[in-house]
Amino acid sequence: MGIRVHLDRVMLERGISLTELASRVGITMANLSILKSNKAKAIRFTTLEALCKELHCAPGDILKHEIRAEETE
Amino acid sequence: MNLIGPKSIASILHLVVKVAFFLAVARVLLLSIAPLLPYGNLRYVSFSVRSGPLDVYFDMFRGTEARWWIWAMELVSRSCHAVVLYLLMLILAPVGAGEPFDPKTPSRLRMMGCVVVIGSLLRTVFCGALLNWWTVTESGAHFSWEIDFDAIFMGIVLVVLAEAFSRGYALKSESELTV
Repeated sequence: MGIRVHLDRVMLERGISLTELASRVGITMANLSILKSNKAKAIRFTTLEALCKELHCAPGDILKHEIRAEETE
Repeated sequence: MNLIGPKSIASILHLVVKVAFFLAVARVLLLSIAPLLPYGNLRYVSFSVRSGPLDVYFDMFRGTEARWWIWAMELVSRSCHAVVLYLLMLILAPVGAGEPFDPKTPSRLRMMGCVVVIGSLLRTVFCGALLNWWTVTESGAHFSWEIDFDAIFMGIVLVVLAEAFSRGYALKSESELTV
């Protein structure tokens, strides 16, 4: 997918663990892990909003559009 | 009582189809060894051949020369029936467990549709082409060519349902990966 999730980098900058973020946002560790490892196919606006609120960041800090090699050819 | 899930109507149906499948397999096995059994014990064995407006009954061992074709046709027909029951049993197993969108269900439904149509066409070919020639000369009965449109319709319905289940499974897997 062209959209990459940089949750791990933002979490590292804020010094927050996966367990703590999951409990604060109100989603399961498994789902947050799916998001962090870029396996998620979609993200709800409510989840994104809660993540941004807890991490004090904008959606663009978490999600980045990366152009893949096959798209440039 | 729930329609799907554990202890539901679907789980009861799964059990019923399982029993029907084992009975169908027993019937196919019995039919396949029928010619090897002693003549005296098989007087009651007769097969119904239906094609067009006629229902003709043959005694396998006292009937006409067509008996081997009738036997082969019955064997193919009953085998198709057993395969359909087997596939239905496999489809109902995840539904009974509460997971209707199983990744293998679409291919099973497609296969079931193909078996229904092919089984029906084989029967038509047997009845129309082979039995017609034999029975006209030997028993006077006449078979007309008649395609079983019900079976073809059922086959198409099953293939369409397979596509619906395929899309259902894609939606389910997508929703599982939505955070």
